Amino acid sequence: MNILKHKAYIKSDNIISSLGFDTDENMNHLIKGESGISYCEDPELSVTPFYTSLINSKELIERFSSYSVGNEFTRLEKMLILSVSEALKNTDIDITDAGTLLIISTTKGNIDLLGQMHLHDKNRIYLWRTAQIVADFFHNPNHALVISNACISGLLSVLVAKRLVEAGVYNNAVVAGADMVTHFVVSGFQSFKAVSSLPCKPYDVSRDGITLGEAAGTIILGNTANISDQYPVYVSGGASSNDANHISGPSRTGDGLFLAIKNALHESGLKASDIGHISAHGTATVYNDEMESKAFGLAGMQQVPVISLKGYWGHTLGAAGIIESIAGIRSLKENYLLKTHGFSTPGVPVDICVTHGFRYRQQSSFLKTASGFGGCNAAVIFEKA
Amino acid sequence: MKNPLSITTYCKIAGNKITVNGNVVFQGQKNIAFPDFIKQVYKTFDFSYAKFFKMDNLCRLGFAATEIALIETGILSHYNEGDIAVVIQNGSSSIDTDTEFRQTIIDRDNYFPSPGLFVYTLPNILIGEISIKNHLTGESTLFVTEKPDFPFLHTYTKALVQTGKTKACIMGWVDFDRHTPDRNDVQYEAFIYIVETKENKLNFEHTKDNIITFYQS
Amino acid sequence: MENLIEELKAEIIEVLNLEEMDITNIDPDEPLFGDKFGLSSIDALELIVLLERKYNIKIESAEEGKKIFHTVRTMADYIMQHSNK
Repeated sequence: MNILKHKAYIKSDNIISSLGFDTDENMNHLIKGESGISYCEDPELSVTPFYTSLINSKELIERFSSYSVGNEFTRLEKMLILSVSEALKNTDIDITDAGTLLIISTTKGNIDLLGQMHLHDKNRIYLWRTAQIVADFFHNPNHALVISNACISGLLSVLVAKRLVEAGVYNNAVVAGADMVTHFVVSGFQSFKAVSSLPCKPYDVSRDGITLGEAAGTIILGNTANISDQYPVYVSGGASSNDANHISGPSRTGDGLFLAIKNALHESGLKASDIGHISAHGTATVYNDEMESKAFGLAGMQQVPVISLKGYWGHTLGAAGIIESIAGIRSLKENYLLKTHGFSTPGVPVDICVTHGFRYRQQSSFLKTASGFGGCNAAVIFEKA
Repeated sequence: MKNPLSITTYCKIAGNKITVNGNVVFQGQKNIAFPDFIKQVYKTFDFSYAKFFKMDNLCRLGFAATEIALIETGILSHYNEGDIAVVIQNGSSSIDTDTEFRQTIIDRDNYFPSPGLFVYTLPNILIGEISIKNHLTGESTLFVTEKPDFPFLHTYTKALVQTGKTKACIMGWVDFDRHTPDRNDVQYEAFIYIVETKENKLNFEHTKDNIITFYQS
Repeated sequence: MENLIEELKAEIIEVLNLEEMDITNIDPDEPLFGDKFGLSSIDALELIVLLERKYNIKIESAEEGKKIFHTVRTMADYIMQHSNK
């Protein structure tokens, strides 16, 4: 029995990435099929040249300077604060109110400070401290939540926010996620031989790994829709699950992700055929994309258009679930499907409908999925109210 | 609609000592380093799980506390695998292994990043290890907080159960803090408690005060 | 060759933490990725790092590695064939 009194509406959003500093700018590039991935030869980031998607640091500093001068914020903190500030402009929630919760999603936070801790306050490296700094900037009185759950952190943060708003624990939730491309993270994925030699190709037969990217994103949820919103969207269902199989390799069956999708559908009361599109994880590793195709098959969604956005922004880790959800929400409201950049020839064992190009499609809901190290999966359904 | 929840066991590992429901079940030597302590725990409790030796310190700590709590309650045979959630709070993320991994990449002339270490540079792997060992496929989340926030865990568990997302929860705080290459500045603590919708041998009321009292005992 | 096998056994035990499992010796013809040692794909990646670090041999993919790492002896053979003498 569902005893919840509230719905969790999407009130505002922001994306900061290689494709721009607000959602509109990012979406314009996505609609035109323009990727933000480029070739990088910076030895500070990688011992060998690689493809990646980076935020313009100079522009980040310039834009941030209108909010705060001086050097007391790290690059990651600037990304988060700027993103939240921009999102707040388009809604009237009061972030200083105790009824508003801040949730931060990040996998590695200020990891570039590791080994330099003597230069900062000793707690600066801890993720809770990053969240506290952001909360203090906005004078939010609550302890910010931090979710650090590998690549599903962003989507899971939206799910946790939904649950807390629905239960009436908070009126609004500001969900902000960010991760940077750093030597630490690039080295790690390279040691896994998981980084693609060219810009990533989700679901493609010649895919050979991920392209890393950095971004910050914010979604503001609340128990009322914005008055000015013609087509309000709310989170109608969601679930997380575990493959219980391997700590880094995706499940070979797709059962874990299927369970999350099934539970999300059950909560929303929707059937597979009601779903307008799936904004999938689609990291372009051989095993992830294969696993997802199996999960979508098990869920009876072989006819539902599947999109991966990793070809535009790369895999932005803690920001991924948030910025990709925002793109999905926009495409839901305006009834279109984005092209899966990098995909041309199907290369997964189960026949799924990966989008080849931009097109219009009337939709009432979409499903966002994510999967990550640790065998975790998340599935969230966004629906027009 | 009331969903009575009970805390049916709690296990704490700190200061090289293990207590279950407030009673000492293992006392390791106080001055030995954590890796040696946790290996003694492995042998004493006979976990018989080879993958334990692949885990990093944070995972071994959380795994041990959880295994002891699971043995105590027997919940694996009382619920379906999808009906047991795992919700853990942690303070230092994976900083211990982050430090180890960084050692493999800082010297550009001796640059050999270790995949075996990198995989543990995410704190939620702890939940992955617990899930794999016990075949738990349900809800899970890893939160990072400065200190254990039991009022929040209490609220979140209630929300999960009342909305039908789970029927039992493995909850708690698992932290392993060490951020210099010097192995002597370690601070670790694990406090795992199990919350159930069914009755078990022990049934403490699931209240914020009880959780805090048990943690402090 | 026998020296290399002994050296390799010690290296493998160290990088894969097998000593913690009380394994101090490996039969050079025993499958490394069978049931005995509980090894996974991450261990195969660690062995790739070992070959590069200690023997200066680069292996590009985990798949390629799996064949070379079948047993200690197949690893030793590969090293003999590919290292600069």
